[in-house]
Amino acid sequence: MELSQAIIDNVGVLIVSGQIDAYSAPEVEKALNPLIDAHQGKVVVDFTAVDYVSSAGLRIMLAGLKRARSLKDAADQAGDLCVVGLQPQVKEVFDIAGFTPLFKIYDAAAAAANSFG
Amino acid sequence: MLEDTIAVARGERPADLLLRGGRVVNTLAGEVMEADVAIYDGRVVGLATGDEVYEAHEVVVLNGAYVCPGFIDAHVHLESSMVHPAEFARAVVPRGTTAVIADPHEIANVLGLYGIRYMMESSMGLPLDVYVMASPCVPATHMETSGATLSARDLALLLHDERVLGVAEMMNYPGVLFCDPEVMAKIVVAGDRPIDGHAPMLSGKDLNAYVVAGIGSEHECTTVDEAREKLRLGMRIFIREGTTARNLEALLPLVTPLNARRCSFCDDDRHPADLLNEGHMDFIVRKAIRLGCPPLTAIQMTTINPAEYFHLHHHGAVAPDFVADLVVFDDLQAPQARQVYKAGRLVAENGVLLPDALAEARRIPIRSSINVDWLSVDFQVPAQGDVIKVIGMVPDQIVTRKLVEPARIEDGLVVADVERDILKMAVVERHMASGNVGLGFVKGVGLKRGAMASSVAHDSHNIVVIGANDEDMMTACIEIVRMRGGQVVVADDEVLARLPLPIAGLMSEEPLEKVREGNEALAKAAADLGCRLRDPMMAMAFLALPVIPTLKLTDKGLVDVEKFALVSLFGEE
Repeated sequence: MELSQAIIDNVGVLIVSGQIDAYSAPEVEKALNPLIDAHQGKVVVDFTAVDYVSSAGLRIMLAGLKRARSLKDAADQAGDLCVVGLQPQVKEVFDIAGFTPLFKIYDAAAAAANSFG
Repeated sequence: MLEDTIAVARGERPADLLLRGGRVVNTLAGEVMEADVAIYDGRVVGLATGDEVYEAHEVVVLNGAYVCPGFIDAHVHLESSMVHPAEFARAVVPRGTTAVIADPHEIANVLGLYGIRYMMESSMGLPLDVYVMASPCVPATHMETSGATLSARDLALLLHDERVLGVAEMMNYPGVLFCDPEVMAKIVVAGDRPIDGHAPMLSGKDLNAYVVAGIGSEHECTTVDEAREKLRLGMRIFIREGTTARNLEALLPLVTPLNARRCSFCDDDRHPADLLNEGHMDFIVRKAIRLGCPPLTAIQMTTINPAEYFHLHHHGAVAPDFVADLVVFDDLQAPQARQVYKAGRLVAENGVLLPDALAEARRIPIRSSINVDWLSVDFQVPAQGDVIKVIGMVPDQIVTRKLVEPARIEDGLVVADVERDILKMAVVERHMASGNVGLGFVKGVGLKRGAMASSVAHDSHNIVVIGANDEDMMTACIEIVRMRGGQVVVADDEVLARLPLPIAGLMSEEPLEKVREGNEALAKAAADLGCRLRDPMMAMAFLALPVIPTLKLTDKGLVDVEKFALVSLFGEE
């Protein structure tokens, strides 16, 4: 698994590639939490190059979502964690686990970043 | 045509099948008799003794082997086998079981009438008669959230079906004694059909009242004195020998030649390993004989006795006008089915179901039963006091102790204390996405790290999870939902063992052998993490059952069963 970061209009973007399994999930968490805090909860996780996500990966996404929504920016706008580019097999995991309704899901990072207005 | 049957019985026309030269275990006369058994159109039409001879299209020579009626399980929750009904049939029919009286209250707690109909439809076309008793106690209590509620009206709907024989175990005996209107309505809808009991230790005038309400059987007795009192008052006694509770040895001294016909056998709950390793009703019959029960009596107790109680008029005997559900075996002191006939058709031989016996089995699709409000799931316990009530496990029992322990508090939160073997436990509501999460602590599990979770948690079957840390508990819960139900052991975010149970979160779609492997893998994974429980998943499944003392946890919180009330986690009272 590889991680990289970007910023689009003050929104933090975490780009993940490979598999989010029990071993790599803590690395995602280690990168995600500071990103959430640094952008007052406005973050996007780009799954375009992710072909597998374990339950540990889902746990980290859920924890990240709660963390992001608990934060507010200077304009008192609540944060959120958006998800981008779910491949069909990953989308299926989100669906089965009941995670799809929790997240705003977009096709591209730019669209997700724009959603923060 | 009746005329045809009469003609075959009189020997004017050939039978379909003749079992020649066998020794019939006659459950009606209470004797073993040498006789040929003539079968026509799925029924026994004649017993030929002495010089009498029947002609038949097919003759099977038994050479002195015994023939007895197919075995009947008087009370079972099929869901406890963790496999779907066709797979259950594959396991038990070769053992000689040809009928079961099922109380589908596990799936009813998850999916209500839809779940019961699933069990009924998916058990059609099997070489096993699955009769159903309509479950009156769904949910078991008001202190938990089940997936459905069954009303008296629902039971009335079910009772229209000819396979529904009556009303299942009336666990809410206080409701009977205090004339709860809904309970009264459920008794009334039964009409003259049997109503099964469940009133452990009920005695004296209260027991009189329970019996006078129409409750006709009891399978919860654990002592001879208790069973004798219930027998005296007219209840049929189902002696239970299952996985969870084994009462045969304790209760067999009750049975005498004068009262045996009022007694039957049942297993209540029987798990995959026991089904495969021990068997089913044949195991109970053999064990009873080994403990001194006369073989004929033991066979009556699992054939004609339950058949008569449940008004199954054509079951339980090898005699004219009885369904030709037959077991052929060699040793009267240790009956082990050599051949099994269902309605006159050979369906199993030498312990194996014949290939075409499941040709008409149905695989019915079932909707997912899992629905969790993830945003509400949080296992943090803010400290509101220095001492907490802790559920004390009792090895190999489903009762628990109520302990009061100092809380381990870190950053204002009560956390698991592995050194003192105090682990966190949660029950996550999984039917309605209500967001309910009951939180508590449990002692005696032994996990040093990781977590284990299950969607089998009596009786409401919410997700129960026990762990040394919140992260593994959450990962375990997510994995359960991903499997659409099941059981899992997790450590350091890694899934160490898992058993998917996608049928209502209770049953597998896999063969029984695979499920047993899964059970064993889960137990081993838990043991590797330090768990000391012999069957951790089963033990955990009963920690959420608030009708068994003393301290339990449901999705609504901690339940003091003796007070029959929800109580605070903090403080001694």
